[in-house]
Amino acid sequence: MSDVRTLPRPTTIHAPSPSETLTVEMDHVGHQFVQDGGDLTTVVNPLRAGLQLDRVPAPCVMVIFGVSGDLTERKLMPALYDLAVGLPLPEGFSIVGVSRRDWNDEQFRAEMRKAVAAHARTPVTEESWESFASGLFYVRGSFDDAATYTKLKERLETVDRERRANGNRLFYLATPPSFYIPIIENLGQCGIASRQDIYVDPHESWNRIVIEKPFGHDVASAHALNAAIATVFSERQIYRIDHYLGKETVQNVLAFRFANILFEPVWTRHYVDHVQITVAESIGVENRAAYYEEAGALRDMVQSHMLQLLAVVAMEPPAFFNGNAVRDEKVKVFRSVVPPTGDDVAKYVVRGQYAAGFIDGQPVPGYRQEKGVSPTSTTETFVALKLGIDNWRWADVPFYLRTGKRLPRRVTEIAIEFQRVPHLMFSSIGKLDLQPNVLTMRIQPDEGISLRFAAKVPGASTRLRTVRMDFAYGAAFGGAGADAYERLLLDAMLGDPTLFARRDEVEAAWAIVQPILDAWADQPVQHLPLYEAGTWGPDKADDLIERDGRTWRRP
Amino acid sequence: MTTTSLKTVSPARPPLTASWTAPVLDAARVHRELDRLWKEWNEDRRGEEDAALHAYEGALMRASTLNLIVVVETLAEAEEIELVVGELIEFSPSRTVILVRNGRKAAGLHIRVSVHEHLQGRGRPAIQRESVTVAAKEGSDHILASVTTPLLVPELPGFLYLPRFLRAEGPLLQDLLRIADRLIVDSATATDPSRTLRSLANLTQDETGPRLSDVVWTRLTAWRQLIAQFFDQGVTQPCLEALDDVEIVCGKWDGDGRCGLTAGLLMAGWLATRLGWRAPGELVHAREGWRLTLRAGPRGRSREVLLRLRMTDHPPACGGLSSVTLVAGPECPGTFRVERTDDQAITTTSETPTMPRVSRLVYGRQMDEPALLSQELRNFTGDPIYEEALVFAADLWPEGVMI
Repeated sequence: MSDVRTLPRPTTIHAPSPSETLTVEMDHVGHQFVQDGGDLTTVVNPLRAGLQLDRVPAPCVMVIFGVSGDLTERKLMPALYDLAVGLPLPEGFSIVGVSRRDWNDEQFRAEMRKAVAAHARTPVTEESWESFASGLFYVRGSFDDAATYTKLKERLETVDRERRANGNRLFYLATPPSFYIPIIENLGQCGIASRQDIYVDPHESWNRIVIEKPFGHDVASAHALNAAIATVFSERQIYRIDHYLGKETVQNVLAFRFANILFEPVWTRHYVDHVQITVAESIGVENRAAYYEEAGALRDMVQSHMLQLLAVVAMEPPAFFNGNAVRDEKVKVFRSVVPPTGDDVAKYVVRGQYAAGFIDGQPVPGYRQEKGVSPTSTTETFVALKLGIDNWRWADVPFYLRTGKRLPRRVTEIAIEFQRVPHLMFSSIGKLDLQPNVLTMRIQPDEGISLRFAAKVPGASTRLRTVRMDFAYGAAFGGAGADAYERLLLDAMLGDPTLFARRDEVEAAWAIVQPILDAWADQPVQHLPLYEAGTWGPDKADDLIERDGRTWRRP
Repeated sequence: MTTTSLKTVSPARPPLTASWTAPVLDAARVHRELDRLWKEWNEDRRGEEDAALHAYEGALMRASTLNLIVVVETLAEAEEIELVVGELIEFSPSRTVILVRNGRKAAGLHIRVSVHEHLQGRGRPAIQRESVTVAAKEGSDHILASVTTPLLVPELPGFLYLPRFLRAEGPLLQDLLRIADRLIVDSATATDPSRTLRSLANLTQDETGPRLSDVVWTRLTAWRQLIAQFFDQGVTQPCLEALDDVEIVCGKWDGDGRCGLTAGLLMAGWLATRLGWRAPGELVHAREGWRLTLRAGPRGRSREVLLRLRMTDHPPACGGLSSVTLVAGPECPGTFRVERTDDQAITTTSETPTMPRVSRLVYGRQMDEPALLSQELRNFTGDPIYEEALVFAADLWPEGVMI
């Protein structure tokens, strides 16, 4: 039950709206939202009425740690530029970059200009760049050196003064995970960041932190990381980013399920035979060998992206579309998942590693021949597993998950395969090659939804054929939606955590994969099953599903 | 006003068309012809061995979004509308019905149907749509109104677009308002602002009629956003209560027949209704444009706000706004200005005695007709903020003063 408070409208503001108070709702972990969906920081401005949907955050400074890295170059800075010149970011929005690179402000701006020119959607002109670059500042230093934070604090105070950021800070950790804890500890010790358990005053400055996955490498390290972050930041200040959740089509799964009455009645064990979730990549390990050797497909894909997809398919309808209502339901799903343990891991989880092969007609090396990969590596580049969800909706419905690198094509999809009809009256007319109904939600590429069903072939005789009815998201709405990072960065600035992972959600997801990690650690292997690059994984993956009388889709 | 932001679609192939003349409309024939054209289209694609089409196992579903009804005067304008619709990306209409009021010299109807496909770029699905153009002799409004309903795709919302609002007044508009869910007009084409804004304001009073929107208001969204942003900060919010001078500079007529005056009036209406200002009368002509002293604050303790409105022939502003300057008085002094610097950009500057001057440039492209219409088709509900601003703006301009 939510705690409803009323926020007195500041007396300095003339309020032409009918109400002299704002009603602020608070959920059970302290996230607040205004009843009409507006933002606390903007709703006190009467000129904002009717503009709330455009979602403009309060002025703030975004502090990016690891600003010289690949993520900043390819994703963050282009997204911020697109947001800034495309209106949603307010006047005074500023960015302070922190890294060890020997840059000054001008060099930093020059580097960022290259990144933006290469990756942003909006063209870069002299005028637009000058305007954006005037809010870019740089602090050089090591992430584990207290002196860095002294310089950072001074710089932030100057920026606040000159750019009117009001002390609002969004910290973004775009660094290797090993720096997360030193950065957070230093932010706390230097007084740059402070814990904010709760607030009701929109004029009070805020500070929030965005953390990139991986959130730990197992249950214990996830607990430890979360505990360390919690020494400085409260949960409502922490935004764990999984860019998959920022994708339009992942959000569209929620709209598809919970804005239509049609599908809910059949979205249960009574009608669903099984669910297949595929996240296939055609690329290899590329320049992420150091990370990937430690992580592998299970940690890199299954624990985060794939379990998030499973959650949006399997969760119960949330009461609200807000931060904790949605995340509560996802956590419930994770806690209902029955992971294989002990000897069952070998039965229900298949891993593999790609060998040399061909992708798009081009020869590609095997994983062990990739730059930076050990020639004796046993890191899995493919995982297929079968999970069950022990609750009323999904009992006995298997969820087959499959992900891998160097598969034939890049595709992410969720397929709900329904049971066959209990009695097929048409069987009297001869052999029928009818497939069961399948509802497929394509996340990328070619976003859309398709439904497979049987139809009569036109003609005097009764012949049936399976056809596919296809809804192409882009053909209906056209245009490319906002980039996932744009959406998520804006959400973080607005204080909307709905599309970010919560602590218990992350830990519950780790709890699903931990027994598999344990079993693999207990029974180390010299060689993983190999699959040729350009194929759909090792043969054992086919065995995993075929022994249940089912087959993998070929998306 | 030529800059566009919607140039990313391109026709995959020339459209397939069929046309005929008949004394009356046979809706069944229209639908038969459309089905035939789609069949022909798909057969041609199979002939081209289009791999994507072969991936389908039999049924190809065109996602249906909305009906767009457009009223134009001439066949040339109908062709222009076809081009505009072809550039829509978001919410591209499934079917466009174009009614041409003065498209024939003889009695009867000329009907043209066409099917179109537009590519969005590599890896993105093509957009498919259909058009039906019905041209009648001048003075046949009652016929055009009656043929519209059978031509719409059932169950889809109907958007009525009147690029030239005034010329469509009369029985045709009244009939179409009954079948449309939403009315889109462009008040920038009005030569009689008072009459136009008042008739639009009257439309908003009809609870059962379609919800109204004006592309001029859509053009103001960026301006409203930027002005609102000045006052999001705690230190500047008190300035809202101290504003005592507002200058709105509007562009004169552009080459497309649009004037910025109604934009200026709506901007004034927006500021006044949001900030609780009251107008004691109409704008009066002064040496440098028009002016009116508004009252702000509660009665008995009210203060004056001078509203000044003038026109400019500065090219980037023609057809829209040139600048808005808000000055706050001694209680909480500050100057806040938004100015169109060129077709692509808007510059904001703000300054108070306690804060340094901050200036920034944002992309504020002059939206052309496809971009504006695309925005309008996204919205289905009414906008009460616009409706309040419209009612206020309608009373600002002196009756009978033409531009």
